[in-house]
Amino acid sequence: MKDLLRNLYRFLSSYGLSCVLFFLLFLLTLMGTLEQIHLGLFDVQKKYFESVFLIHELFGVLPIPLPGAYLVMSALAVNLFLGGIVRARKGPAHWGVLLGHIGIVVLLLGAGIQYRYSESGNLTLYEGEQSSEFESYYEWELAIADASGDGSFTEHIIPGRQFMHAGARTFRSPALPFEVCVERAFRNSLPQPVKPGDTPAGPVVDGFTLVSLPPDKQAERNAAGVYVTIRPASGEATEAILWGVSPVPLTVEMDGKPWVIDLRKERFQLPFAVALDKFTHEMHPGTQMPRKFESDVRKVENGIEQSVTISMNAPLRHRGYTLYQASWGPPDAGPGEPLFSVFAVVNNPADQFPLYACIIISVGLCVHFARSLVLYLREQSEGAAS
Amino acid sequence: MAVRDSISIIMTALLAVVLASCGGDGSVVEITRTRTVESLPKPPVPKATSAQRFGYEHTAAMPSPHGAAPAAETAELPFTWTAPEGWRPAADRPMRVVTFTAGPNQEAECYVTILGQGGGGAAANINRWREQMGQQPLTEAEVAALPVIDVLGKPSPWVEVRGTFTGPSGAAVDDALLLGLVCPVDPFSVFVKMTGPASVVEPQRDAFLAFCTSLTWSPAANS
Repeated sequence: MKDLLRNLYRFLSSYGLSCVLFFLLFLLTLMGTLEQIHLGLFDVQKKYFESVFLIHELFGVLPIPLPGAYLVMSALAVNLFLGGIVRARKGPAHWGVLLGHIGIVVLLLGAGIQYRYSESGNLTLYEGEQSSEFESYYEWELAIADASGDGSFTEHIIPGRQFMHAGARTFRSPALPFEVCVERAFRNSLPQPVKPGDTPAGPVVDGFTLVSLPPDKQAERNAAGVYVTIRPASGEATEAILWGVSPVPLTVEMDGKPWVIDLRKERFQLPFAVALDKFTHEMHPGTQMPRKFESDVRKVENGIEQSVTISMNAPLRHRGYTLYQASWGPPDAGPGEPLFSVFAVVNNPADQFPLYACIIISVGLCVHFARSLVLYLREQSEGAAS
Repeated sequence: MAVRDSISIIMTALLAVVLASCGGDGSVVEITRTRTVESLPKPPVPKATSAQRFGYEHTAAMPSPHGAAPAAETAELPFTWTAPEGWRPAADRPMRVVTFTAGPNQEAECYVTILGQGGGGAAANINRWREQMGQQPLTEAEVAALPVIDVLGKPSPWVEVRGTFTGPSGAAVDDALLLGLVCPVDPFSVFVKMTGPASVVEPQRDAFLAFCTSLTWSPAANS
């Protein structure tokens, strides 16, 4: 057992493993970049960089199993920590290199925290509007709420990862008078009316069938769709199709109350509200190309308001959330038409880690090269003296 | 360290990862996440049919589009429509009543907007469309001479513009065609517009016309 642990330690901290991991990262970066010809950025990210294992089809024919970048980078962080910090020599001659290794470990740690815990999406506001929620670009959720609420609604949320890639699943809660069974889920889909004589591939509900479409290269344009069955404790079950971009949610009557069931992009709560007071934009003369656009907003928190201007290179940072000026619309707004401003919202607990890592690595390199320079100059002066 | 040791360690690690990723796939799942909101993001429409929920049909009971006037005040639209066969409803977009895509690869986009107080007038909006297509503006007299069709009981100017379509992002579509209709219904105007490559929009001309003429006052609006 002791031998196994010693061997494991040697293996995980070895130079050989570092070389293999760096080579794998090079391969994954190359393949992932080339694969973007066929897949969109989001899909490539999922397949090559956020996966544990993957199968790469070489020239579209030869399947090659590979570890994903998530696994490779996790292993690299361990390898670097054990080999480059724990096992490395620690004398003054090595302080610079040691600091450099610590900086890279911090960078990898930041990437891991971002992958695991960050939230990102967008918030769209018209002038005069206020919101404390933002919407994911890619992820979906099923929201169930009693629509008879007055001024306050409790939504029961089923995250998309629990039904988008799973088989048939039933979801229930003691607070709901029914169960929701998601029978089939499609990442990109279109509900199509079924005419007499049609032979649809999927089930027909209320004259419609859900047609599965190939995923869009721009993943945010996908329109998810699901077949659901709503089963009350007693009484007849209701079948329905839910479509992610439907402007109207499904409403069912249960126990004399209207219940709303909606498939939509995942929504996140901000710990403060943002109100858009004024949006201004300028175009390059004679073109429709934006030259500058910025939003005057109010950050509202616990009744305290603070005015902030968000522009392209000046985001609002507050309580771990960053709001960037992303875009605006409507695309063909006429003179005097109300405009809306779109903010990209990111909550990344490790957003400062790259900065810290860069500082640590810079200090490490400065120490290392300064020491080398001093040694060199000393050697030169000693040589000249002798 | 022997190569054999390395291989055994790698195999053990791989097995551990594979076993860890084979978690149970429970078919019954408890809903644990809740959120309290002051209003529902999409207002419910009791007894809405699937055709209405998916945007193939519209009734006066449907919620109003974001920011549209005067529907925002009345919380409902006073007219209905029917989508032509083959058109796909697209994601809800701010300011738009409804959006469809058409064509073999859905390259053409058609949408309806409503603007209060005439939205600046037919001529201003038609010339804005012409500017987007890289064309010179029309004079008032030229706008008055445009062909008209009857929509919602009003003679509505029909516009066709060829050119290079440039959206606000700066992305240009060469050899594009814009079909547009401005329906001035006091106290607001309805705008119907289709843009895309000319080769895709041209075959959609009849469908676009059918869509425009399918706009019908709802009974509630007439009463």
